[in-house]
Amino acid sequence: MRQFQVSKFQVIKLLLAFLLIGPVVVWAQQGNVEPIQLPPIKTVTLENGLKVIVIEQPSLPIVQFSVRVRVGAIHEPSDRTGLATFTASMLRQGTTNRTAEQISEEIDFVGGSLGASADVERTDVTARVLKKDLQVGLNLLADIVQNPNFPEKEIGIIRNQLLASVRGMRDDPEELASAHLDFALFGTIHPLGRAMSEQSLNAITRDDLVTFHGIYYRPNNSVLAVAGDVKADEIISLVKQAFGTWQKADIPPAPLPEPIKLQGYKVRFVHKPGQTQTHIEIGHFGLAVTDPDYIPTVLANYVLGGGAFSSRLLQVIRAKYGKTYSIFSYFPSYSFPGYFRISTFTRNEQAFETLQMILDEFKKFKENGITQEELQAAQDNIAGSYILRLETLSGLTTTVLNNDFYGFGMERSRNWRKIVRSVTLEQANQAIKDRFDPDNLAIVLLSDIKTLEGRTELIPGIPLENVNVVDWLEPITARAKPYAEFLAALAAPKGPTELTWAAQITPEARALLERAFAAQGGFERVAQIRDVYTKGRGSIFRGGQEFKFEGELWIKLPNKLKQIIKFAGGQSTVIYNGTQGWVEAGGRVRDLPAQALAEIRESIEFDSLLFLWNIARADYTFDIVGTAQVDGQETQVLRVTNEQGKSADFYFDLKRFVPLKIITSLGEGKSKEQLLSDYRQVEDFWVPFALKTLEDKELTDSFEVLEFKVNTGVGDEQFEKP
Amino acid sequence: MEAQGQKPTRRSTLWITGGVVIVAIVAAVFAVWTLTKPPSATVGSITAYTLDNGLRLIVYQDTTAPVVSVNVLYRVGSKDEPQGKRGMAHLMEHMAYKGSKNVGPEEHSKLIDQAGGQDNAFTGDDMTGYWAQLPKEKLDLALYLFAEQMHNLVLTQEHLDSEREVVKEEWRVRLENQPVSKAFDKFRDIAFAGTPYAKGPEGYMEDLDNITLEDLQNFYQTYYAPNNAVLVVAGDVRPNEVLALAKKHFGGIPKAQTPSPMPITLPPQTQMREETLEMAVQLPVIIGGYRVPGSGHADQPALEVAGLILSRGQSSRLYKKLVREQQLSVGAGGFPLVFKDVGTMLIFAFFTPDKDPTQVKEALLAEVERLATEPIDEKELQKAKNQLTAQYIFGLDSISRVALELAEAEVIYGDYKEFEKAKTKYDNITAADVQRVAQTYFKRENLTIVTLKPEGGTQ
Repeated sequence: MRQFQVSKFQVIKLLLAFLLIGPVVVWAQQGNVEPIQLPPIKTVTLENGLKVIVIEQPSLPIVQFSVRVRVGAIHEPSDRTGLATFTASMLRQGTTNRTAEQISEEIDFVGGSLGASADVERTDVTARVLKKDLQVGLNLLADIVQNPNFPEKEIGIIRNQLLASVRGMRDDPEELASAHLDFALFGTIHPLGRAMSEQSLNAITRDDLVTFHGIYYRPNNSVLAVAGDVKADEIISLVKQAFGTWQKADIPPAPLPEPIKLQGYKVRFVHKPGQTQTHIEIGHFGLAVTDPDYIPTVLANYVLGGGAFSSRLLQVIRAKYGKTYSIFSYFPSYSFPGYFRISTFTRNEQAFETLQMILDEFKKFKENGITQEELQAAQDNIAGSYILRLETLSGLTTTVLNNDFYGFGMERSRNWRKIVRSVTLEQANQAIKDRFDPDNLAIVLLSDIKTLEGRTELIPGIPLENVNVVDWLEPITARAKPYAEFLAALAAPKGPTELTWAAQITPEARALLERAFAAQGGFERVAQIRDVYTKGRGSIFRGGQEFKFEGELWIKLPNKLKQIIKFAGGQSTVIYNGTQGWVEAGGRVRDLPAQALAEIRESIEFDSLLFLWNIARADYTFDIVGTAQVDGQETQVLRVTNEQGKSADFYFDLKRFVPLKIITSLGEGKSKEQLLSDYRQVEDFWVPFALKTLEDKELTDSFEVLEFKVNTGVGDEQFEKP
Repeated sequence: MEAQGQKPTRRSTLWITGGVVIVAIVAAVFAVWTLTKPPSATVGSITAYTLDNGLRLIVYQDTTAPVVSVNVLYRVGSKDEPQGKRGMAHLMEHMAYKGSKNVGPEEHSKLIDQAGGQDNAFTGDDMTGYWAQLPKEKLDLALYLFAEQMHNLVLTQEHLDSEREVVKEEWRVRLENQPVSKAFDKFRDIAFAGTPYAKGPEGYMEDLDNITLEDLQNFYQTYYAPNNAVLVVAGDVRPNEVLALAKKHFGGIPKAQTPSPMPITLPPQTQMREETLEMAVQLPVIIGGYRVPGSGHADQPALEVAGLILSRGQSSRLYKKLVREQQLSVGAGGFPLVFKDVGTMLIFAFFTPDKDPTQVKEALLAEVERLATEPIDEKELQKAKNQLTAQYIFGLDSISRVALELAEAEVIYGDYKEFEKAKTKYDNITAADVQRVAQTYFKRENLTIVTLKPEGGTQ
C-alpha cells in the first residue's frame, strides 16, 4: 500500500482525498463552478416530527434506509461513557416483537445488512436490502429503532464485545495514542476527552440503556433517509405505516462545557513496552463545521497536511526525509468546535527529530501562510473531487443526511464548487492566523519509555520534567506521572491485578470492603501503590509532658519503613528493612527490640489506606462485628484478622467508606486506638490529615499531615542499616 | 458535511455488529498485502480488448455517476521475488511514484489530486495494482500517468534510499507493532512453508536493506510491461473511446520478455501444524486454516458457501455457537483465502484473556468440522445463496470495486468473465456438495493453527 486510507477497516473503498502543490500547467483544471447534479430528492415531515428524505437513484435494485438520531457521546452522563454505543449496539438484540435470533435470521436470510453505530453527536441505524426485500428491511429497521427491549442476556453478550473492543484498542498503537490526545485536549469535563473503559462499561445498567433510548430515540429527534430504487410517493406511505405511531417527546439539550485552554506544550507520553515506533499526535482546539471560517480553514489545512501526497507535511516528512509512512492533519466535522490534529509515527530513533520537523513546518505555515498556487491546488481538489463521494448509495445518503444534520440544506452540495472556489487567498491566510496555533499544543507520544533514555529534554524547549507518563494499560483518563516518578514506579515490583475474595468472607463484609476499595479509586488503583511519603508535625505525650516534633515517614510496600523525627533537642531515625530494624540517635545505632518491630509491621499492615493493599496479598478473615458512633458519625465495624491471628477493628463511616477509627490489641487486655479525621483527597486517594493515638484510653500522640505523596520511587538503599 | 481531505474521527468503536466487524478486522489485516478475495459480482456492459503489444483492456460501462475508475494490475507480486529480496515487489510499487521521463517525482498523485481525483496502490502475493478514481473527463490524464509508470520510470539511488525508509516504516506499523498481523504472518509461515507464499508482500526487514537499484531496474524491466498487465476502466465511459485513449497512451510501449510464472506447489502436509505466540496482547486470537486448492478449482464455490454459513451475520454458526451460546469468543469467522497457486480455509476467533485458549480452539474446530459430519439444512443453504446474490448486486454500487474485481479476475483466474459467473456459479451447489468439500478439506492433517496468547499465559 502506498498510503493509509481513511479507515483501515475499508482499505479499498474509503479514500483520503489529496491535493496539489505547485503549478502543472498542462493538466490544471479550469475553475469549474458548475452546480453539482443530485438525483431527485423529496422531503416530507410526518405528524410526529419524523423528517423523511427520499433519494431516487434507481440504477440498481437496492434500497438503503438510514435513520439518523441526534444522539451520541455528548449526551452520555460523564460516568457512563460508551452508553450511546452500547444503546446502538443493543437495538438489534431484541424487541418487543422479535428476539435477537429472529432479527438476525430475518436480515441474514435476505442477504441484507442491519446495524447501528453511534458517533460523537449522532447515531445512524441502517438497513440495506435488495428491492424485492424492501418490506423486510423497513419492518426490521422500524422495529429495532422503536421497540428494543434490552434483554439482560443480550446486554451481557454486547458488554463482552464492547469490553473486548476496549482491549483491542490498546493493541492498536495509533488508536491508543489518538484516544490519549483526546483526553490530553479535553480532559474528563468534556465528552470528547472521555474514553470508553472497563469501568464505564461495567457501570452501565439495563435501566441506563432503557432510559437513554427512551429520551433520545424520538421521531422529532430523527431523520430517515431512503435511497435507491424507490419512488418517493410509494415509499412515503410505507414509511408512515412503519413509523407513524412513534411517539414524539421533548428532548433535553446537551450543553457542552468549554475545554480548558492550552498554554504552551502539554506533553503526555504513553509507555507501551516493546514498541519499535513512536506514534506522534499533536492537537489543539478546532471550529464547528458551521463556522464561516470552516471552509477557508479546511482549504488551508489541505496545504499543511490534509492533502495527503500533495501536502507539505507529507512531502517533507515522508517523501523527502523518509521519516514515516503516513502523516496527515485534519479538522473533524462536528456541529460544535472540535479539534485539529496532526498524526504520524516513526522509528524510535527518529522520534524527536521528526517532532521538531513537524513543529517547524507548522510554525512556518502559521507565519507565512500559503500561496495563491497552493490555494488553487487545494480548491481544484476539494471542489473537483466532491462528485466522487456521491457515486455510491451510501456516500450519497451520508452527504444528504449531513446536509440536513448541520442545517446546510441540499444547496450546500449543489453549490459546493462555487462555495469552495470563492474563498480568497486573504480569507485562507486569515483563517491560518485565527485557527492554527503551533505555540499552544497538546502532544502525545506513544512508545517504549526507553526511547527517552539518556535525554534531558524531548526537543529543545521541552525538558523531560515537563513530560508526564502513563502506562498503556492504565485507563486513558488516568493521571499521568512525572517522568522520574513513572520510572521509579516502573522499577518497583508489580502486585496482583485483581482481588480474589477468600471463600469465608460474608456478603456484608465483602460489600463493605468493595465500597472501601471503590472509595480509594478501585482495586487496580490501590494495587498500584508502591510507596507513600508523609510529612507533618505533632506531639508525643509522655509522663505528663508534651514533646513537639516534625517528622517525615517513608513506607515502601510491602514492608519497609523509615522515619525521621526532629525534636527541639535533636533528631532520631528509625529504619525497618522488612526483617530487621534500627534506631539512630545522637550518632549511636541500636537494634530495635522485637516488640517495636512487631508494632512497625502492624502499623504498615493496618494503615488506614495501606491495609487495602495488604489484604489483597495475603489470607485474612473478615467479620462485621457491629456498628458504632465515632465523632457523631455512624460507622460499621469490620474486624480484619491475619494468618497469625492478629486482628484490627476498622470503623468505617457510611458515607465515604474510609476508617474513622482503628483499634488493635497491645496484649494483656490493653488496646491501641487510632482516631482519623480531616480526610482530604491526594492524587485521588482519601488520606486522613489528622491522627491521634490512644493507648489504653490515654492520648499518646497526635499528628497533623502537611504533605502526602504516593509512589515517590524511594529506593531500597534508603532502608539499609544507618 | 465533511470537507475533503479530512480524517473522520476514530473515536467510536465499531464492534456494533459483532462477528461481521471482526471479519472486517481480519480481512483488513489481509487486505494490507493481499487482494485475493474471490470475485463475486457482474453486470451490464463489459467489453474486452487486447492491444497489439499484449495489454489486456477491459471496459465496464456504468453511467450512474460522472466518474471513472482506472485500475492497472501487473501480474507480479511478492511470490515472484527471488530469495533474499523479499519485499521487492512492494518497494517497486512505492518507487513507481518517484518520477518518470515526463512526470516529476511525486507529481503523479498531485496531478490526480488536482484533477479532483484520488489514487493509491497495493501489492499482493500475485499482483501489484495501481488505481485512480476521478471525474470522467480526466480519463486521458489518468491513462497518460499510468502509461508513464509502465514504461518511463526513472529509478534513482537517492529516491531508493529515502523510499526504502518509508517502506520500512510501513513494515513496522503494519506488522512489527500489530499483534494480529504477527499471528497471521506466523500462520502463513507454517501453512505455506516451502513456497514463496510463506512470506507476505511485506518481506523481511533485512531483505529490504539488501535490495539494490539494479535489482529494482531488472524487476521493472521484466514485469512492468503491457503484455504482463491488465488495464480496467470503469464508469461513465464509452468502450471505443477508451480503446482509442488506451492505444494513444499504451500502444507504443513495446512488449517485454516476461517469463511465464512457474506453478508453485506446496510440499505435502501429513499432520496438523500448531504454534503458540506469546506477546503483550490485550485481545488474543486464534488463527487457523485448512489447506484448500489454489484459484480456479471446482470446489471453491462450495467452500465459499461453507464460509458464509460459518460466519456471515449474527445468525451464522460460529457467531451463534462461540459468541452467543458458549460465550468463549467475541467474534469468530471463516472464509476461503485463495491465492493463485495455494489456498486455505481461514478460520479465527478473538477472545478475552479470561478464556482458556484450548477451549476456544476446540470449540472453533468442532463447529467448523461439524460441516463434515452433518449436512447443512436447506434453509441455511438458501440463506447463503441469497447472501451471494445480494452481495453481488451490492458490489455493483461501487464502480471502483467492480473495476478492481474485474482486474483481479483477469489476473488470478485468467479471465475477467469469472467476475460475472458469480451470478450463476452457486446455483447448483447442494447441501451434499458443502458436506463433501468439508469432508475433503476440513481434516486435522490439513490444519495449521496459531494461537496468540498474552505473555505469562491468560489471566
